[in-house]
Amino acid sequence: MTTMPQEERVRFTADASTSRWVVARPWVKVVAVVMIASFFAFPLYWVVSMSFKPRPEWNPPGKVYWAPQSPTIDNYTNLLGLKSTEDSVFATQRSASALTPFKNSIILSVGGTLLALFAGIVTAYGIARFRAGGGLLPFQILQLRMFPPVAIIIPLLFFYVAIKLYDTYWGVIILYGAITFPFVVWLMRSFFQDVPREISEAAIVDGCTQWGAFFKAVLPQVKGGLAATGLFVFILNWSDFLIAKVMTTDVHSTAPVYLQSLQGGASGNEYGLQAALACLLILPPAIFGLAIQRYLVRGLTFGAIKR
Amino acid sequence: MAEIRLEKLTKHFDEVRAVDGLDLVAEHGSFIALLGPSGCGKTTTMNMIAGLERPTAGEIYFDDFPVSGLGPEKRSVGFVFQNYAIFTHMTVYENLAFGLRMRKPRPPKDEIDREVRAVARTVGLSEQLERRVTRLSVNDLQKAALGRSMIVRPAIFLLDEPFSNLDASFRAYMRAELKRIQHEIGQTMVYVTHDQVEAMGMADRIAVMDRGQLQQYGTPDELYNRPENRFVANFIGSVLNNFLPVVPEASGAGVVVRVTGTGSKPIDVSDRKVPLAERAGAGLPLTLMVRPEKVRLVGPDADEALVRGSITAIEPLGATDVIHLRLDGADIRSVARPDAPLRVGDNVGIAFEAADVHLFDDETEHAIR
Repeated sequence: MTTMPQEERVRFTADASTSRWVVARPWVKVVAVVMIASFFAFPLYWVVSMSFKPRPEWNPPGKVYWAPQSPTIDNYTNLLGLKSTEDSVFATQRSASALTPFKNSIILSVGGTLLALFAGIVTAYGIARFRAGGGLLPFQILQLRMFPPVAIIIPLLFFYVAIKLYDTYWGVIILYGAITFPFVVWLMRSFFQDVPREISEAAIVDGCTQWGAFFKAVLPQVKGGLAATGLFVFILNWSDFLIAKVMTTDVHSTAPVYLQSLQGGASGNEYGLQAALACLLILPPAIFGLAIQRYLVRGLTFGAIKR
Repeated sequence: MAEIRLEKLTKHFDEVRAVDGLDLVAEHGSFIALLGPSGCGKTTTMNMIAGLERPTAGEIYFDDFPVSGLGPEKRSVGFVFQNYAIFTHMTVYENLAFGLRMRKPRPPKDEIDREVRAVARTVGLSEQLERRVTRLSVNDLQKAALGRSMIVRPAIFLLDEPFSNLDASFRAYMRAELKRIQHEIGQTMVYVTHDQVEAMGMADRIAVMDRGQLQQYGTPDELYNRPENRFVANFIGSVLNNFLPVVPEASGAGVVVRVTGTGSKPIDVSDRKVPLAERAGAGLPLTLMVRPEKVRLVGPDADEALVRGSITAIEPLGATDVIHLRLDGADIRSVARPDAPLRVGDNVGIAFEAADVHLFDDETEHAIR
């Protein structure tokens, strides 16, 4: 941008002039990025800062604390039942800490995810490699997702009570697995389609069974996709509220249900505790995501598996 | 080592007859090529030998033992695929060791190691053993695929266009290498290709296929010098072959043919069984084939010139030139030495020996001998 050409001879399109305008002023980009980032990051900041605020700073009338004035970890210790103070919600309302729902969340989400992954990859491979079920099966499986779970939850509740799956780990795991199963089938099918047929044939000719070839030769080729699919399904299960709310009581209930119980009643809204629990709920998917990060990048570029 | 025998082998995909009543014997330790254009059924045949496809009818024997009922993992075949089918999540070493590790019971570690290193030496991958496969060149990938199939010492070695993705010079190198390896390990090899140069250069015998049917099965020499039908005659040969319409006629006690519409001199074909009695009167035409390398160019007025033509193009290939010629009503090609004093537009006389002429029945396309 050293010499500007003569004004009359230059015709910019709108796009070109905009980009030149930005290129000429790097700070514009910086400001834009900061603005957009703060817009999305602010709620996260608010939750994290709230989780460290003592009760008087939660929601005082007519005043906003943008940061904790006297930071405390009481919200966390109360939540996890490590300390019993007077303002603890457990002293007044509840008998259980967040530990049990948190543990339940992990058991049910991981269980449901593993079930969906196992059933889903086997189905997806059958469809991709052997055209199992003909052309319609993939759509029939997708139909499972064409109505919201709430549409069937009440009949299902009666059914679950009758077959004694109500308020059990297995009952919820099966439901989580069934609801996320179509996602696994559709995602993994496209990954399997990108694996050349010869990969499994080569393994079989070298002495593998069909199953051996699948697990030893084909599945490792799509581990990126498998990791991405697993994370996606896990997040879906982890954030479920409805099924856990309807299908369980306190004993097998999950953290999102517990989170909702932290408002109302005699104590009002327990903002600090809710924020602390929200922070804890962020951790498992984040850790899972970091752990599989090196597979994720390749897995998320759907269908771009190198042959 | 095993003999492969195919008997009336047939494979239908719905209405398509991919392979149609194929009879073929590959002897112990021989190198067989299945040659044909794409879609001729050669890969399907290969897949049936390996057990990856089930025949619709017919039977495959390995040393007189019918194998149709056996799964591919039980047939002891090695298969090298066109797109390598290398396991990209493994190192070269792990890829080579795969077949041995799948054995039950699994051989001891040091034995696997010894075998892997031996095979790596044979195919020339000793330096790359610890590399991840994703870092290999295309050429090395194919070597790895070859090594992985070799290591289990299969009774039968099947190769499906293994070199078609390689660059030309490396392909020539691998052709020689494969021939050496086959000689070294002495296994029966079946090689699928659409490239007649590959087939001619490597195979002991070649099965030429078209539209699911065997056209001819013979040594490279037989295919080149005694093609059974027009398809084989056309498919074999490195330069586009010359086909000319001819009319047979009686000449004394013998038979001659003349190239239709060119005022050509008669070519004596009395040694062939030309069906003159039915044909000559009606003047029914035949097709004459003469290979470009058998066509000589002489002066336009030379005695030996059978027809006259003019040069339309010269295609230099280095060692030889391909000369494109126009006759009245036909184009033919000849091969000449590059130093021959020829120019585009020259009028030349075209000569070839009666012995180098192949005649084909226009109706059945079979050779007339």
